[in-house]
Amino acid sequence: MSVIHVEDLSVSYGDKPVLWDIDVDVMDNSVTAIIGPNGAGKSTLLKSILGFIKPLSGCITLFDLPVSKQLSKIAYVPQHNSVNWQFPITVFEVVLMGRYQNLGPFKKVSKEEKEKALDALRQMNLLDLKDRHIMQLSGGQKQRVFIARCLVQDADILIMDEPLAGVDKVSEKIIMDKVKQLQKEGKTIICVHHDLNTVEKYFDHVILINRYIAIHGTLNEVFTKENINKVFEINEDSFIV
Amino acid sequence: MKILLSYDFLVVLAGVLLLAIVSSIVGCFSVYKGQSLVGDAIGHATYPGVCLAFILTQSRNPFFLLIGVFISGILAYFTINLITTNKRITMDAALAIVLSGFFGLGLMLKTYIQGSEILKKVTSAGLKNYVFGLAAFIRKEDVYIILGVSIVILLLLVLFYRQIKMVIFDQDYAFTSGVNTRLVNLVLLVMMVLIITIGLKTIGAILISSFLTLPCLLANQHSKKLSHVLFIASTSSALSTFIGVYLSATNSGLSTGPTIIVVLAFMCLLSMVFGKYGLRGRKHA
Repeated sequence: MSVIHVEDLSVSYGDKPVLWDIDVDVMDNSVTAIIGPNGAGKSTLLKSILGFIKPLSGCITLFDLPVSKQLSKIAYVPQHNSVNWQFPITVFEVVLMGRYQNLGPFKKVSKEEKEKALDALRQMNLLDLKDRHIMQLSGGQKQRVFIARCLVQDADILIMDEPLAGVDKVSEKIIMDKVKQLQKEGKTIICVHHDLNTVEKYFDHVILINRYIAIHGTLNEVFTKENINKVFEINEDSFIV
Repeated sequence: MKILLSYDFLVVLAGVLLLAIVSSIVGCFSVYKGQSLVGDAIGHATYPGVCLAFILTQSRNPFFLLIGVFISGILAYFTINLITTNKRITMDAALAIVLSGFFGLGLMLKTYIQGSEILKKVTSAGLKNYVFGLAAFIRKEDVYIILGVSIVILLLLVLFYRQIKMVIFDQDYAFTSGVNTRLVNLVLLVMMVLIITIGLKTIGAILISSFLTLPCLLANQHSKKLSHVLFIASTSSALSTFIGVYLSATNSGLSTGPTIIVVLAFMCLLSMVFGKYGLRGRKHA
């Protein structure tokens, strides 16, 4: 069953087209990698799904409804450059943000909410660092903090933009072990991924994308030499709309 | 010591203290949002609003003048945003255009007021105070205005505190969590323009941005936790205000606004060197 359905999606930044007439499905309970060369529109696809970007045309649904009505089902791990690292906030407070949706403006953070946040930090091996400023952490630790924040949200779908970029081996293992566990718990995970060597190790579904081409399906069906070449060998001149 | 109990001293102190505390809190959010210079540009850009309000109403009634200030401030902000939609123009260039363009227009209108036959009949003395501020002459009515606006700002802050935190730290994540990021950004803007509006007459267009930015810079040298930063920023701002108001009340040659800012800047410099996260501090984040 498809949980995210993208149909005829076209997106442009100004007069520069980025994605053109793309169809994609993300299957329920899958761990899906979005793969493509630099500038292929991987992050743009994610941003369109999340509603950050208004597409030129196309239809995106999540559990058969518009995404804007289903945001509570999504937990999102952002790209590093969208975070304000100078903001005075501790690791624990970042994770607690995952509960704000349930709290509203006035409700006090209860003991249970705090315990949930601490438990998420424990799962990501970060409990000792909970009072540190977020900036004092390494790249991998920061990424684990954002995943801990998603864990306390308890959403059905986890969307991650390059979760393994600039991450050390220890953090990579902790993150991907958690991803496997979340899949066992029935969640769906979607990641923009850049390392072709680790695709087979971590993912069971793949979306190969490059501007006007999107091939999606199970790892065995899609992640073939032929498809990879097809997607990675498109050059600028071949994109004529 | 007798001066500490005099009515005039207490009125001035109450007005400036309120302004200092609220602007330091609002300022923390604008600094972390990377908009510390936007406050400066908006502060300067409010002057044509003062002059236009005077020309249209032919009155120095502070209420009309402050409406002019508020509208001018909002217009300046949207002009900055409009200019920066062109990706080839950087933020600092947009700020320079708006700051100098609007302030220049204000000075032009002021000259027009001074030369106009009709407006000559109405005294325009005091409009200059919106540029340089005149804290020592705060009246009881001004304190009421500052108090009213401060309550509105603090209410907005309490209502949107969690959402503001999320938007400034990570706007994309806030959006996916269902936060209306546009509304939160608008609330932040309104809070900033409101505080500039009521601060102009007291501290002036030129120094108001110091009231917004310095307390945050100071507090940032001592803590990396938002609640602590807000507390340190507001208390240090209040302390420097007390010292500044006292010094200017006891020394006839010192004007209140600039004295407060000098004290605040001095405290800020000390923190930058000796604070926990300062140059000689123990920690670096």
